Amino acid sequence: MSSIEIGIAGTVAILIFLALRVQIGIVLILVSFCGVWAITDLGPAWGILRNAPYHFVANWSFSAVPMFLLMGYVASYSGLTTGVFGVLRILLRRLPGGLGCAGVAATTLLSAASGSSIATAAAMARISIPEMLRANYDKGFATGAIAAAGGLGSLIPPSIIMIVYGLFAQQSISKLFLAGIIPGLLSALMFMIYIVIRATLNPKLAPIDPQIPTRAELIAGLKDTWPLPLLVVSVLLGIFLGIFTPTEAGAIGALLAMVIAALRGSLDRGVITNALRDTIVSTSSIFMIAVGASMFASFVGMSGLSRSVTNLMLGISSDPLIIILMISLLYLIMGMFIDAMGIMLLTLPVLLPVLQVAGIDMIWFGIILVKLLEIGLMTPPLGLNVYVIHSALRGQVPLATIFRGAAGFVGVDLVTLGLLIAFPVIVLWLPAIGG
Amino acid sequence: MLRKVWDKVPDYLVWLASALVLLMMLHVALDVVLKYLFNRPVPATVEIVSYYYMVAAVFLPIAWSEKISAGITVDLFLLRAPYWLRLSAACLALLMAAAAYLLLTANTAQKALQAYHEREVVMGPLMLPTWPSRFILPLSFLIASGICLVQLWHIATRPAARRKAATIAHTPSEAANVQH
Repeated sequence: MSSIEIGIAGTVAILIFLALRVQIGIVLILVSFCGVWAITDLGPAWGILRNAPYHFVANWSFSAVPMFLLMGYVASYSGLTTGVFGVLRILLRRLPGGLGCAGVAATTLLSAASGSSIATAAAMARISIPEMLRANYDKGFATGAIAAAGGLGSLIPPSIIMIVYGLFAQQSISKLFLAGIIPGLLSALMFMIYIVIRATLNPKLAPIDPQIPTRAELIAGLKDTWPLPLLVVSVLLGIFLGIFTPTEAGAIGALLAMVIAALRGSLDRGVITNALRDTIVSTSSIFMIAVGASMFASFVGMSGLSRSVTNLMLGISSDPLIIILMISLLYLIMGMFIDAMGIMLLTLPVLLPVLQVAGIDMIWFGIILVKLLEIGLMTPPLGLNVYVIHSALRGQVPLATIFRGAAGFVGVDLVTLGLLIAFPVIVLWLPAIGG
Repeated sequence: MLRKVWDKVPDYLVWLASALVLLMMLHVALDVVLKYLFNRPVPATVEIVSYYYMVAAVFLPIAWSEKISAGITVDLFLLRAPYWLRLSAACLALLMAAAAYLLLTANTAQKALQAYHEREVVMGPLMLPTWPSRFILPLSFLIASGICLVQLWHIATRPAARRKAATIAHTPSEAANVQH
């Protein structure tokens, strides 16, 4: 077999093993090891295996991942969004679909304190969806809105996906974070416009919030809104003004989230142990995939597969727009079957050379990528945000109903994606003036 | 007695990793405060975080992830597959995981011993020895491979374990609870 045939056989083997439920990280490690062995010799394969895990993990830049995860989990578990949601629902109550809009807006704010879509969706599902169902919202519509908005967790900084992308694609993490802000806010705005339009056309979908707030409730709510904005502003400004590195911002943010939760009386042992446990289990599984992906990158590089894919794609067209559209289609299809981090790390080693040759801006592509992965969180059969909401609501709303409700929001997201592709300035303006 | 201890090992490792992540947060935050307020950063914070906290946070929990099957898998294609196929796939997944961990154990152990003989250090504000953290890898991988092999043994000897392995019980919702 030639190197390139080994490369193709390895990639096919990876897909087969994935379909047989072998863990992504394990598959990537084993197949890359055998592939490099087949192409060269046992020596180089052994060398890659020996150096990859330690050097990859013992890295200051990556240490931002557990810190932002911890900050997000503490913010979610201790209910820091409850106050914000309470006030927003009072302020937006005269708007058609106001309660849904309040849910989306509060999710957006939580996204700025959480680096993960799934943690964001789970937390907001528990806080906002029961209220919407009590107001007789259509079940699919209510859950779909939060499944969609939860995706903002990885588009609005901080973002775990962006950190890992930045390190693989060698891009500045602060620039990626800056680039995600406007697309994130635009996505949230588009969701809210969609909710208002649907609720106006069919008021049964999202009836007016029956609860008439008392003055005391409004004041109590306002008193409890400060924690989240304070956390978000101090962490993000710290990064963007260059005061903190991402890791430092994450550590300060996690500590601040704990202090705020303690002051509000919502920090107990359960919150701390659950947040820590989720943080390390997530960190560990993300890094096992990333270690595998770094070995896979060596393998596809050695096999010449990435060069062939580059030539193949550039043979079809060298127009960056066509290339982006081809890649988008690939991600939308893969998003139906594989989780976000897995797709990104599986494809980047092959796609990065194509993007570089085609002269595509890597910051812009990073944001398009996150948007595409976010859509994958809502598409059946494997839309993780939908499953997360299903389990956060303890199965109250059937999976099919949530998927159906999310479908409209997927459509909205595709429009937003089109805007980001057509007008790269939406993505690149902030990093240009901020960097 | 020995079995009880063995069953608890992954839990202890998770506790240790949790404690270290908490310590990492406090350490980095303290460094920031001392750096900006008193211009006296905690020496070698970057090195300690990279070579110790990160290595521990990533590798120590692997055994626990194996024990509760928290690794990220693509469940869709087997959801409606017949019993024998689901069971065989579960065994294949465990075998491959055990093989990968054993390979990694041998490999990283060799590297750890080499680093120990060289008394590996990293040059920063301080000369920080890094060789001890090298041993975290083979240790974690060895225990993880043990967990996989014990699960395979249970599948071979206990009908209940077979049924459990063949059920794709942890729907993506449960798996998702422990993901990013």
